[in-house]
Amino acid sequence: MLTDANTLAIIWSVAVMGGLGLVSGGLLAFASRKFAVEVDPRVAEVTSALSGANCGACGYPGCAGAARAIVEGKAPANVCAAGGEATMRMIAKIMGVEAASVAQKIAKIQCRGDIGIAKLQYEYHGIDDCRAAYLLFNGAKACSYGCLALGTCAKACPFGAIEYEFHRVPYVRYDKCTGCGVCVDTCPRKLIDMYDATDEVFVLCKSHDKGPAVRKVCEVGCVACGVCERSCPYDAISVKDGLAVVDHAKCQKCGICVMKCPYNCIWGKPKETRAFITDKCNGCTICEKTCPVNAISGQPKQLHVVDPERCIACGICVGKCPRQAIEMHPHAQSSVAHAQAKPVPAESTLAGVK
Amino acid sequence: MKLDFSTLMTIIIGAIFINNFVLSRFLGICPFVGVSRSLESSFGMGMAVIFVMTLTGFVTYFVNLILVITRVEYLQMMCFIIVIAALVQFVEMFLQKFNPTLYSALGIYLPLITTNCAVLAVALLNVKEGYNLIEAVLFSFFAAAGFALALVIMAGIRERLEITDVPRTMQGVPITFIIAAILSLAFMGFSGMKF
Repeated sequence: MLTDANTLAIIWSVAVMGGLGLVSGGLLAFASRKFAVEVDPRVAEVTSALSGANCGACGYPGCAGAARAIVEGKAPANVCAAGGEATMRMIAKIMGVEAASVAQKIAKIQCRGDIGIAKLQYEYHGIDDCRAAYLLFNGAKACSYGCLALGTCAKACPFGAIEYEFHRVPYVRYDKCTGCGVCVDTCPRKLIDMYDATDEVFVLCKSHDKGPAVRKVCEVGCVACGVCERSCPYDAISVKDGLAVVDHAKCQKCGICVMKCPYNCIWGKPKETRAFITDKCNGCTICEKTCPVNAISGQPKQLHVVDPERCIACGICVGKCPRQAIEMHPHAQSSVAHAQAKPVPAESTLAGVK
Repeated sequence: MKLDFSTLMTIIIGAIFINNFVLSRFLGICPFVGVSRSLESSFGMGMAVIFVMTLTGFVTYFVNLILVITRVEYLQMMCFIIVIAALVQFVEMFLQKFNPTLYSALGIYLPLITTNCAVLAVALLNVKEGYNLIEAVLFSFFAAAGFALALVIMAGIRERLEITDVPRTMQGVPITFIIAAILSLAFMGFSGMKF
């Protein structure tokens, strides 16, 4: 049987614990009614659309913080880079934003001057960080616009999309870059810009210096020679203030400027297609004349052939063919690498035809 | 209530330096490592901890009085947890309604420390040391200030660490633990102090 003291202890402990719980619960219930703040219902919807991983890549404290910022209009609907396109669309739907306004972006580092290709003004032995190197006479690169090639952007990338080898300009991978833009601010030389993911041709140089000055410090810098401007069939590239600039609204991604640039400072995304001439060809030779890279050959009034090793898939011949006989077909990447390793001289192909 | 100036000074110095919550008592290590990445956020966390701990010290004094009267002191820990959790929730709601500026300043840190061991410890230590109301509130405030101090020092060091060449295997949390240990050693130096 329970003694009096024991009974009393049980009663008191239950009473105290229960009482405290009751008081606390009552207080909170009262407070949640009394102090209720009207919150935009979209905040909860956006929060549930986000991943809930609280990774912090967006710069807000957790997914709830990001949701609040989105609803308040402080953050764009595509602020969650980790969630990708599906999350983006869901949020755009909740917020009533056009899905088109959340176009995928990619980062591009606009320099090609690996250490060795571009000259140095001194030898840097310090912390492996571009920002630290930048404090010392603006970095080791002799070119005041060049990439310091210490990989700070690669370390900052939360998605491992920037590949960096020691003392080489880092490379942004198209397939992994989510367009979060974290790397942009880490570059002390402001070499990284965000572009639409559909853009394919970039001038990989930011030097506004005069031609001779550029040549003195770098083998792959833009000297504003204007070859690209003259060769572009669409007026999409022009030299402004000592630097070639691509107008991405006009650019048709033909890749002619990439090939023509004598200093190799224009980069084009490798093409996966090649032109292919079908049986409809009647041998009018128009394509042969328009091809900017002499990749098409054939006798008049006979079926013409495209040399896939030389074709740059610019697509100009497709538009020029009066019989719509030219189509773009996928082409294996391996032979592209082969073509780069062993360039076929122009004479030999022509001789073969003769 | 008898107030002795030298006793109060002993409590204050002891709470901040000699028995620093993080570096000598090893309480609240989770926020210490988690929120010390930047000075700004560590300062926010420090302020939130000072706020909550002082409030806790004040309220748990009265809760303890109830426990002593009813002779169920062994329920201390459970009661304190309930009271602290409810209190922080209540204060959060209150601030959201009447002081949104302070609410957004404390931000996520307020709910984060609701059931932190440092906060519970301050309530339990107040009872163990037998402090009166003023001593308890003072001790709570300065223990929290000591916590904030450790956090801010740590954040300052970690901001410097960001641009140093840390060996690959040591990057991130491992180097932070080593720094914490060295910091702790430095604070152990205070432990010989007598008044």
